[in-house]
Amino acid sequence: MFSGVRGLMLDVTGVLYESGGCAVPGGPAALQRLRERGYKVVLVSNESTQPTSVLVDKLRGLGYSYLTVDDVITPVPAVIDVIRQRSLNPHLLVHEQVVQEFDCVLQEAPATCVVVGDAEDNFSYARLNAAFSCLLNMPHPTLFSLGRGMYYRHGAALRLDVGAFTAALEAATGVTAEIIGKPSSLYFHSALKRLGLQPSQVVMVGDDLQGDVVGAREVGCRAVLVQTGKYRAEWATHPAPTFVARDLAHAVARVLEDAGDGY
Amino acid sequence: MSRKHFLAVLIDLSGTLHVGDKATPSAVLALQKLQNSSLKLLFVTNTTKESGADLKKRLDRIGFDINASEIFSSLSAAHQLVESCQYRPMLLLQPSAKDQFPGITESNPNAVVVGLAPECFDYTHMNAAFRLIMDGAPLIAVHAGRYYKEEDGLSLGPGPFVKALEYATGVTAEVVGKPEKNFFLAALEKINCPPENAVMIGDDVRDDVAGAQAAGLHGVLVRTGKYRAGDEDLISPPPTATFDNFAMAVDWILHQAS
Repeated sequence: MFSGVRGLMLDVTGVLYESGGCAVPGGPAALQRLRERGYKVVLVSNESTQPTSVLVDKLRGLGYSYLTVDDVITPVPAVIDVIRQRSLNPHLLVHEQVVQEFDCVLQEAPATCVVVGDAEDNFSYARLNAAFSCLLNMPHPTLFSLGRGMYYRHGAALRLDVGAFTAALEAATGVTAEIIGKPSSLYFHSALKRLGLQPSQVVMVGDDLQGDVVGAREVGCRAVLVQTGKYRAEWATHPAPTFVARDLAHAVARVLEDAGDGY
Repeated sequence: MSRKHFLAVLIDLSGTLHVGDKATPSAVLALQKLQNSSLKLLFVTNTTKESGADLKKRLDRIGFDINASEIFSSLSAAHQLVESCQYRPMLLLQPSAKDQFPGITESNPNAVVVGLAPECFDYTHMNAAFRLIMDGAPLIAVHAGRYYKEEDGLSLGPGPFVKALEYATGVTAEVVGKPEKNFFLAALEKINCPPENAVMIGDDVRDDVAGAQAAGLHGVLVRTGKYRAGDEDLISPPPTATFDNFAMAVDWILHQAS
């Protein structure tokens, strides 16, 4: 099932730790074991509520002590790269904590694109309406969505993810969003490039059926669905996952076992 | 055209009876003629905020004499649905629209009704609605308009927020306003008339005419309001009849009954 695997792409929230909670049991040890056996690992996240450095500090504090910002791909730096390449000026509908990250590309001029992230409490009628008006006034309306997840688990409850608000803006304007994040194949390819591996050599581990598993399968990777985070029982019988694991540690054990690299 | 046996007439308001603050040609007199006939009348309109009393006030100003109880709006339809299913709805509505839901309890909700409520379309309220729907509560949309015109430009309507909840939950909203079949059937239930004996008069070929025809009513299109040349050719089957204005449609209807 996992022969020939040389690297892993790991989702972060719901896989390494539970949103609003602590590391999944055995998670840090499993990541450590991958490192010791020479597997390449990159964390591929759609997290847009905090800067990458803050996310990495948090993960280190949860026991993933070897991680650095170079081990993580998040959509905010990715969209800033795109904005720079295309010389755009963004109107932001993003989380308070990541607004500053965009200082390097903000200009004193009419916006030429809208960026929607997981803005949490920054979502309001007035702010969505401002983004809507902004898109209507653009000669070439451009809408970037930092991932397009439906929802995620935070503590005991589910919460709306960015995809819901992106869908609202798309419905209102008729503009189709460009997704910066999973399940965009461009995003997975940038992660594969970071690993220096071919899709056939890489396994994606995630808790989101569409964003993680289906997206990774579409670029030719194998994919494990874990039963932590936002996992829902009705996904277990879906044909997309190569394997359904209890959690990250179970997924890692299974990959190492198949490679003859067992615990 | 064979004679129709009409017992009831459903009438659209804006664009049909009046455009802005002006009645369409001879509409005041035509409505009086209808009111003096034996036909049952009901005024049907899509609104997310105006109560029957608000709508009546505007019609009074223009010179129409009707009762608020003769108005059946998308809010009335939402109220009727909530009542018949005995839902305890979370109402994402403006206070004036909530007045249309007298006696409805909102505590411990098991349904979500979405109208236009800017002060409720924030992360906290939207999350609360989302969780209810994930737990099995039905999603009811008063209508699905994408945006509306305000003095300083276009503003988001309820449609995009309904879409947001549909996207996150995978649930399809039940839209209760025109052109939904159930809207027309609920209106007819109120006046106790079978669809084949009812005729709808409106200026919107899709929302008024095609919607009514799909529910089994006759549909009459008028060339006022939002009507654009060629609209009658956009739908199949075509409108039962098309007239220059409401008054001419009324003359034809009264002629059928005579």
